[in-house]
Amino acid sequence: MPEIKKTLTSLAFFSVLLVWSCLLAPFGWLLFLLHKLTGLRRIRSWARLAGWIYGRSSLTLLRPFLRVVSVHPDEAVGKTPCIITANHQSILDLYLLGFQNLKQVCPITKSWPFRLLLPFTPVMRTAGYIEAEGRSLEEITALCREHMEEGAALVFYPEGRRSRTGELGMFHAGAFRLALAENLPIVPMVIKNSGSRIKPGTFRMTPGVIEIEMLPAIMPSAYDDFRKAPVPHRALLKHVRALYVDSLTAYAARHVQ
Amino acid sequence: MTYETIVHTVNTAFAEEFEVAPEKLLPEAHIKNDLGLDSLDIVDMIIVLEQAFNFKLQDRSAVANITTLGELYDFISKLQDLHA
Repeated sequence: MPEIKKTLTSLAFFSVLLVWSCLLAPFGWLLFLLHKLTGLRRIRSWARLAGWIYGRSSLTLLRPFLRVVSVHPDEAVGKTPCIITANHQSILDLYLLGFQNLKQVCPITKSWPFRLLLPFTPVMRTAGYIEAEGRSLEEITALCREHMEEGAALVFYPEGRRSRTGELGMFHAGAFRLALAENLPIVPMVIKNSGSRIKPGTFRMTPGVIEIEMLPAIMPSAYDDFRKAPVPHRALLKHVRALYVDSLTAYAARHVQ
Repeated sequence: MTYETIVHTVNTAFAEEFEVAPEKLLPEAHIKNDLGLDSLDIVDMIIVLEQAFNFKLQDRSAVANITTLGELYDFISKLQDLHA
């Protein structure tokens, strides 16, 4: 694609996203104010729903640029409280949560989404999205429990940061420790190709398809085997990471042919 | 156990357990900044190394203060001498 066309495409993509975000942001501020004024816990679930709708509607609107294919989008539905793990390639990955069908999701993230998605910071705070940076494991676990009690899914990006190379990175163990400690099912969400649509650190987008595949949930009944391992959460981590490797390898092979 | 065996055992643990690319496993590599381990991973690393070397890293807080792979090799080597 010629350079000028790439620039114009990116400009159009982010303009549409910005306008749509500006249109929806006031609803988020309203929820923020309502929550501040009333303190009603139910507003947190409305805010989580608003986050899901924002992700889904944004990428639906941007379909001329990006087509999202969902495979088994219902996998996490009816399994809450649970943990959804996702590999991380792009800023789009937060939006892609809207393409699996469980609407009550709470991402555990670094600080940058709170800084970068500024118009949505109030609704993210209202929804209780968990900013992990600078918090101890105990603090994060306590915050996670609040969402578990409300029947939400906790979304972890076990790589901790967006992959710069497109390769699956090292997994950190937090999600797997929590899953074993609290007996929570894990639903792996495999994101394919988002990194080649918008690369980390750039605002250049390349039109195309992104696929998300929800793999079969790993239920707590399967954890007994992992608990026999010398470091149980690392055994579970390795098992889940291997599922990602298999799924991403199969996808890559399909698209080379 | 020779120093080379210690280096090999530690590097194998990092590569297999933490998916660290072998070319990154250099003595000057910073465990957090270059290899990407966080504080919880370091707790796991201690357990993994205890199993690999079959002895307790008695002073775990001392391990937590180690910053590079080279320092880790030296620490285990000294501990090995104490156990000998």
